[in-house]
Amino acid sequence: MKTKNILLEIICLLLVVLFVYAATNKMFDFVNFKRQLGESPLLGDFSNVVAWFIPTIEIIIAFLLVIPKFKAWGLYASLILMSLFTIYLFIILNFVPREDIPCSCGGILNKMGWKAHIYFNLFFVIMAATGIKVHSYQKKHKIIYPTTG
Amino acid sequence: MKSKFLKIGLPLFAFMFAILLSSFTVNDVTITGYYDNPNITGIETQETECALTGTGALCLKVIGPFESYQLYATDELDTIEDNELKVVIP
Repeated sequence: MKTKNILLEIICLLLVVLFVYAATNKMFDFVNFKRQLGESPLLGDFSNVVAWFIPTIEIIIAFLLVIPKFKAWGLYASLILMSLFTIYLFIILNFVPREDIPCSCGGILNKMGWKAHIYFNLFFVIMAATGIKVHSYQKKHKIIYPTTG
Repeated sequence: MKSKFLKIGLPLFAFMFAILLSSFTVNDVTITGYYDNPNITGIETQETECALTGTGALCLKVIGPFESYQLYATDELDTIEDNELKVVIP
């Protein structure tokens, strides 16, 4: 039982690190991020809005994940966002002729190739799904654990 | 006490860690540009902030007052189309 609590906490903290890292990196290098988004064949037309929307939503999800009351919302939002990113990467990799389109991701994530990025994202999709499963198990069995109040 | 650390300390640490890591790994926009100086055998390289997708002037490697060479994205230089690096205008 305790192992499940620890697992859930680790999953949430890893997702928090990922989202805060990705969001702040985009903000620190906002001009470049916006330019890269503008080159995207799928999001290019909406780059002005998307450039603000993505880091904002990432920070909001990070906060949801650390507030016990909203942890489930945070996990569901993480799953949706990471799945959307993965689908986007999959489309770019398979259906867009130019593979030299820059990845609009931040920092060290930018150094990954498109394929490596898909595997990286899938790992976090699985993490979020596992987190949801553990959280609903605890809710179903009314387990109150100290780390999340 | 332990519970308080786990509730507040760990998330705070995660936030701080991510922000610090992020500040140290902000995107490096420099890339390697390629040019051919006929006075030197082979193709030379030069680190540059120019890009293929730049919308400004063509990027040149300037050597002294009279010599300048076009920078290209790959070592295939002008043998392929649209390989010239251009200044990125934010």
